[in-house]
Amino acid sequence: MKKLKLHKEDLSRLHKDKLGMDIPEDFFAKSKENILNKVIEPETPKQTVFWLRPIIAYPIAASIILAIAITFWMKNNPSEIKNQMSNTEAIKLISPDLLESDFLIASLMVSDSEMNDYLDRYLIKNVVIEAELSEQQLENIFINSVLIEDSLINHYLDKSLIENIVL
Amino acid sequence: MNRDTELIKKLKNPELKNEAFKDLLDLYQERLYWHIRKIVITHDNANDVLQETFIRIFRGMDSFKEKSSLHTWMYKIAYNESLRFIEKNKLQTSVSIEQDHNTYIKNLTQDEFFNGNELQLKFNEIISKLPSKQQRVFQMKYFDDLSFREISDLLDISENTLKSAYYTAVKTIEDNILAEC
Repeated sequence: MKKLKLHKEDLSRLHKDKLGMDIPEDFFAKSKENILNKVIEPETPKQTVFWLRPIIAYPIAASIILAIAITFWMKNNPSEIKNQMSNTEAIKLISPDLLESDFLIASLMVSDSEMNDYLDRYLIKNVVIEAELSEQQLENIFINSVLIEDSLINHYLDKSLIENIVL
Repeated sequence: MNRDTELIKKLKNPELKNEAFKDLLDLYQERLYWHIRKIVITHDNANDVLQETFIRIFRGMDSFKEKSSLHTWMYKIAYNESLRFIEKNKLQTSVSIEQDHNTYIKNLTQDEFFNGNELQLKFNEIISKLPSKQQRVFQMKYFDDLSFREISDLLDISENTLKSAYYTAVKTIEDNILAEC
């Protein structure tokens, strides 16, 4: 190890006495401070924005990703409805297999007007038309029964008439 | 464990590095300043180079392989940083670079922190007229108090060559001073 023979004061005095080189007052103290300020970063606590903290940010990010995924899925799945089908038509197509909860989630992605439109059409198809069909069927049964009864009576009358005439 | 070894150990420990660096500054700041000042001549330039030198020392400590002593390693950084400063600013303050002692004296006398009398100015003139190698060896040995081994590591010149250059420089200076008297 190098033995430091000259002290600091000796160095400054030597250069001043022999070479006439001087330094400002308190130069080394100020220089030390400047160097330390440049190399040592102050330890300040990191300030994070409240809503960027992980406990807040992660659930928000997850919700956004889920919403995007559902929207994307609604638009592109199943493959048969790729041809720019409206949300209402998509729901109508897949609704028979949907659970109630699925339908509720899906309904959140559809505008109110579209949902009303869909419900109107659903009611017309499944309630009104089916009711009409049921009524028509009953009427047909009634008419058939009437026709059958008439034919039976006619048949009976014809048969009785022939028997009476022949006999 | 000697002082420098202990200091290196602390400087390489992230938790102790800052405190150890303050100790390093206390120990070596003045020595390196005067080493730099004699190369770049003016106080302001020496101040700039000193700061750059310690920034390099701080940032380069992790890559210090301890092949040389801490003392020599830091002097080498200071020496290289001084030469880099001169090259960058195209200064003609150092005769080792430009071999121009007139420029050396001009820069010296224009520095507000040069307060030399006639004799001191003459001493500077004599040094500035020495060949580059003799000038460096003389300054490092006489003013910086470095050993020939350390100067050899710094300048990458054999010790025998350095000794010869030093004694030749001393003889030249003595002859010049005697001639003036």
